[in-house]
Amino acid sequence: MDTNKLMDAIGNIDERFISSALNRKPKKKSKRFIAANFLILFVGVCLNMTTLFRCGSAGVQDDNVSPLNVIEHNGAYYEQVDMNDTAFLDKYNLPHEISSDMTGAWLGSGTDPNGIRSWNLYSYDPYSKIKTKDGRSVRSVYINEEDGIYSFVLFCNYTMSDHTEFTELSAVYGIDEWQDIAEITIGDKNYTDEKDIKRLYENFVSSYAMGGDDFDAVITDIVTDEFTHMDILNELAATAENIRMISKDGVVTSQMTYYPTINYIEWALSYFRLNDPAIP
Amino acid sequence: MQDKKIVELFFIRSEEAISAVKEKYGNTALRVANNILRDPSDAEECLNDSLLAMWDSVPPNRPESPGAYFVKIIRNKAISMYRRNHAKKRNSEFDISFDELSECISDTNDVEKTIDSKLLTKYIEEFLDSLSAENADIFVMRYFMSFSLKEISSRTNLTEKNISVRLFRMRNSLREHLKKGGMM
Repeated sequence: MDTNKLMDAIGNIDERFISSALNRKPKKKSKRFIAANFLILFVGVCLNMTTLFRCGSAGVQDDNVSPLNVIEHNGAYYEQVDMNDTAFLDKYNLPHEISSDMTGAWLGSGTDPNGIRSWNLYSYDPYSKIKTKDGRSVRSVYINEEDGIYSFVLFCNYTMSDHTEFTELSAVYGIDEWQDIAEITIGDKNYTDEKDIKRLYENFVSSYAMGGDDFDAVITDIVTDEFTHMDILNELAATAENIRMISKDGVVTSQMTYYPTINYIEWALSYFRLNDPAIP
Repeated sequence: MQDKKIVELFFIRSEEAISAVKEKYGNTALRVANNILRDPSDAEECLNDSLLAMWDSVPPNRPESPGAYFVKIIRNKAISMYRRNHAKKRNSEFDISFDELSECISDTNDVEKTIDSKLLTKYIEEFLDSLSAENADIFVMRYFMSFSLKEISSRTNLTEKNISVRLFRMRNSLREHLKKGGMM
């Protein structure tokens, strides 16, 4: 069979199909649909982007940060950490205090929209020597200085990105192969064995990456009369597991969420459809 | 004018039928032809030929939907004209949708089968019946009408990305459906 035959066969389909397509009117998005979309964003923000809210219901709340400020640098958003939140700093292997010798190269400066506050951004010197194979630096942690007070800022997501490949995101944390990883934790399961790390990382990097619209289409496709959009989002939120990767250099990845029900990972506004379950 | 009234005008051989079809469905039909041919004057020629063909075929045919019937005629005429002109250029939406559908049958080039065209149409109709109404409409808009993703987006309120993902899945499903039916 060739494509011409297929095209000709399509040309002879019953007119009811053509009539239906001809008469389709753009449907208005219902309030429920808008609410569901909002929830996706909200769940995304709560569970994964960790930016603006503390989320009380999901199992990954402990990794959230209440940023004092969100700044943009070099095409990515960074969240300013509250340096009084020592538990959070511990989770990310970061010191409770920043001394001036920890500041590396000056990266730039910024001001808020009102021009009242201004700050300087520096690399985090202990990480500045860590490079990926192609020579890229760790870009997950920088130091913010405002009126002589230092605080960490953590990579959140790229500012302009429909979706980002998994390897691009892991490179932000200085990881570009499984041998760079010391441990991976998914929910309450911790993996330190090389075989497990290799299996998991290869599963992650061979995933199919997509953006929010495509993921929304995935959710829409599994909506049934029995399970509404909202039911599915609630189920995803209830069963979500946090994923943490720690590199052999001690850099901690953040904001990754695994949805075991549909076998997807969400990370920095990108969604990754895994080939195999992350938790066997 | 209502579709039933238009068909009646054809049956009493009133030339008002031609202008009624042109007025109600002319723009869509012209867009289908232009999406395939990418030449407004060729598309216009197709439109006039199709109106004549409809005049000649109704009666004896009595289409329930004169719009669908008319668009079907113009689509097939445009493809015939496209094939005559094909050597000149490849840049239309039809080329793109044609290439997309080629994926469905790409691994069967070594297996030559004589496929009954009517049977193939039946399988495609079965496939369309298995889809949601919205997805079936999207499939028809893309592969019957050769609408661009942008045009489909404006008619469905879905994003182009969403439509693209749906079409990808539908092509894969169609491929499986045709395989199961022994069509490839």
